[in-house]
Amino acid sequence: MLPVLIIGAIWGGILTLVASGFTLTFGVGRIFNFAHGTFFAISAYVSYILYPHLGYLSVVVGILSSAILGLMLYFMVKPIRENEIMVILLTLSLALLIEQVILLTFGEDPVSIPPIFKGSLNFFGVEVTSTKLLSFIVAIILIVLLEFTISRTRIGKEISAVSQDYESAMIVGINVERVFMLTMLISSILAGIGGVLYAQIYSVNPESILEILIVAFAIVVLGGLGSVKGSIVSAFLISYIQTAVSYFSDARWSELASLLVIIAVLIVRPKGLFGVE
Amino acid sequence: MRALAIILALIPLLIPLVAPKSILFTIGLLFLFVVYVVTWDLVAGYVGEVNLGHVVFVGIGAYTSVLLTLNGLNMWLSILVGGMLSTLFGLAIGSVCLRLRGYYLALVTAILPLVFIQIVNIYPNVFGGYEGLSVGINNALHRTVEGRFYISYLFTLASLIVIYKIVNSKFGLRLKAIRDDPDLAESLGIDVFKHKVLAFVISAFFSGIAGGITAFYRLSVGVDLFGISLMLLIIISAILGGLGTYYGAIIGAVIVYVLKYMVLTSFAQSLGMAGVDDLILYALLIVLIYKLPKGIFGTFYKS
Amino acid sequence: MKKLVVLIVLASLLVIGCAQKETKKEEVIKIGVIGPMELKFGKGMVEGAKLAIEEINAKGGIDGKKLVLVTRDGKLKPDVTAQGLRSLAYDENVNVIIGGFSSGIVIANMDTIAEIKKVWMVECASPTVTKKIAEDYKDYKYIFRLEANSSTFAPSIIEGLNLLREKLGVKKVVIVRDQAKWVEDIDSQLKDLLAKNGYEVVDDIAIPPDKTNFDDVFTVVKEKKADAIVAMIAHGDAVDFVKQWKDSCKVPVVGLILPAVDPNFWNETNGKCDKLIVLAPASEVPIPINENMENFLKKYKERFGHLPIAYSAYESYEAVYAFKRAYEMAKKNGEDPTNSDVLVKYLEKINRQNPLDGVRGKIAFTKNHDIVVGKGYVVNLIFQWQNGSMVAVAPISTGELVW
Repeated sequence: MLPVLIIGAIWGGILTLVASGFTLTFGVGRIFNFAHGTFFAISAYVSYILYPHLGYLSVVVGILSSAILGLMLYFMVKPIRENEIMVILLTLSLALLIEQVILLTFGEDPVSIPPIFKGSLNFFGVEVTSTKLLSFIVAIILIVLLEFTISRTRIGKEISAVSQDYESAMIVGINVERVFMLTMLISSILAGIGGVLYAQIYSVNPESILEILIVAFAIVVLGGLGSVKGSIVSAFLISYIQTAVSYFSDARWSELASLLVIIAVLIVRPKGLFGVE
Repeated sequence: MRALAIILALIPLLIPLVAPKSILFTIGLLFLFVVYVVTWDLVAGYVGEVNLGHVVFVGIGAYTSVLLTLNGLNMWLSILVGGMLSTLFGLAIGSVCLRLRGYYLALVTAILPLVFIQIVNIYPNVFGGYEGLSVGINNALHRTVEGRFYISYLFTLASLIVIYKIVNSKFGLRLKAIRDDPDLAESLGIDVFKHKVLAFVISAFFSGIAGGITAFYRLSVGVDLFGISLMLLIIISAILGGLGTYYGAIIGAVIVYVLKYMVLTSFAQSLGMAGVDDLILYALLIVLIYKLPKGIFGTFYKS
Repeated sequence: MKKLVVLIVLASLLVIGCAQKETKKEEVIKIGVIGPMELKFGKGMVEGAKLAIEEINAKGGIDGKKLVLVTRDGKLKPDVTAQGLRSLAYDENVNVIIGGFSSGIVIANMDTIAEIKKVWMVECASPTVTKKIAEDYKDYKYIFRLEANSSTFAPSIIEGLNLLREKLGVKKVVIVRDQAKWVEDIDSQLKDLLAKNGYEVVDDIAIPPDKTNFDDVFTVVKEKKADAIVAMIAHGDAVDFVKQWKDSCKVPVVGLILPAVDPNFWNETNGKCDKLIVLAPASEVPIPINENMENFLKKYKERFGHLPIAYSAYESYEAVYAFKRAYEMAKKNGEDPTNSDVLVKYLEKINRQNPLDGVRGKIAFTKNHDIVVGKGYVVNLIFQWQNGSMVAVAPISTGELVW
């Protein structure tokens, strides 16, 4: 039982990292950004290319490039934001375009960045690599910061207001454009941080763009649109289901089990676990 | 309009006379793709509900019919059973997910293809895993490509006529009323839920049959039929053509398919740069989103 | 309305315009290559075939005719491959088709070959391919395979494990594997062989596609006190698996990890594949195990500036030479080698009595068009990653196994 708790917690933290940026745009900002995975991949690939020249400074450049892509996407989405289905189509096409560019430039093989911290720690018989632990801690810090920003700061309240009622927010005098831009920016930076950490533990390839999107999407849907807390709970829930199934039963069922739980929850609670409508 | 449609519908009959077999094969698949798009549009364009798991219907139809045929059932009967199973699945999903408005259907259906891909992979000895299942030339719709081409054409024509009748019937009008203003429709005495489910089920039936025919046309069934790329191609085609315009879906499907599998492929071939075709397709798509937000049909044809 | 009509007419013209392609006829021999051209497997195929074609053309071609390479992109999709195969047959009228990476794609298109009747030298490992040839020889006889049948893998894995046992005293093993059908087939065979060789299988873990985190797997390995992991992983997840293995597991891994056959695998894993013991099916790795391979690798590097990027390169290179041999034999016997049935007849003559001297070893086809795998022919090679290089350890060795 203990190993499940530890592995599940670490993996849950990493999943939160994967989903945190998406939670903000999709869950809170209600912008269907299906190009979320590209933020993730861009930072990983940029730091992968620059690593031999810049060392770990490349990680910072990687995250910056995600931020730039985030801003770019904001301006691309701006003229068609009213039309949700077009936003989906635009962001998905952009994701596929970037996937294709990466595929043609770097090939289909996975790339990874050497981990910052070597070695591993043993928790009750479970080997946890330092990088995984680092990612877990970073994830927790980011979650706390995100939750704090959303619920306590002015800009967070503005984001919530815009997500709930865009027109009233405008009437109240909130600079809606600024809010949209900030949401996209924060979201892309979060995903960028996720990307550079992920590439140290695991690896990133062109297909990761869609895989990450699917994982993040599943987490946010299960947690409920509009709730940062929901996404966090749901990331850990999915992680524990997968780990427990794989540990006590058979790894082959783990992914299916988590998907079925998501569907079951959606049938019983259409808003997801913590969804607000 | 109708005369034009009839003339256009007859043109494909001449294709086998002029086109080489390699192209003929692809055009036959194009017809079936048109059915996927039109059936998706029946729900997205006429009811206003986005089904992100439309490929599941196609996949259920294809896998069911192939598995039944490989176990000795008559091919046509298998395809019909596949279509019916797909319909039942559509009924189940529809009656759960269409009660609520908003993104609910889209969220649930987005997860469904993943579930099916997992199941296919967990039981590779039944479903063939990611390698897929081979149908065998002796189980094909017809041994020759020309034969299969005509069968695919006839099925597509029949489906298109039926769906045309549906969207232009009173039922179709009520669907549009629901899409434009569900509250108003409700107050006019239209059972919104029932109408939505019925449209969803019709969509499931035709795409399920189309899935079965696809399998026996191309002689194999695999997880690509459940895949995101196929789903995306369906959405792109319908939106490019113009949602809820019937002809738009057909035009969009033809243009996207021809572009992707014929024009751009041979272009990349001539350049000697594999993969450039997809690059151009996606870039073109992004441009079109800005230039023709209402779709081709919606832009050029105002009723 | 008018605009719409114009648009529709344009679209139909577009279809018909594409449909009409001219076919030119020259006195050349056309070698068709089909595969996923944007991936390294497709690129490797083309490079291998290109190298062979250039060599043959430099010596005057076959029967005085120059060889010409024609490629089609199959995109790793069954229907796109079907279209490409037909295009190679009907538009280009090629003499032979090489390629068709991945079992799913090949099996799905065996019926396409039955229709177009062109010799197809495929690059995939599934036993289904040759089983189908045995069942329906008349339709599928045009298919030949230069890759080892995956049913030969299990004995080779045992060979590698035995070698490790000599060093470490391995008893308990955990199997970690993909869920694919071909792995499932090897799995039962492997379990029998493991038992016969005195190993105890303490767990058999099937991993779902796209699994990234392997902590659970390695914890199980540890709790079950396994002495070694036997892995069968064909997908990109292998990089994730190997990276986490090095970090959190002290037990050696022996197995069929297809991405690890790639010379670039060391970089992909940041060197975390050190000491990994890998089965290279049909010796398709850049290790100079014999003189021919040494020369091939040298020529390849001179021509393309790098080692073969994928295992498909070896096969397509040899496929061109197998075709050449069959073509010339047929010609000598006064038969028409442009006839696919004749070509099949003479390719079948490349057998145990009359093998072809290939790069990986002696190439001979079995009755069902598999290549002969075993001593004196092409072998499944066990090698180990050591400090960034690949060292063959069995049955041909270029160095010692270390742990």
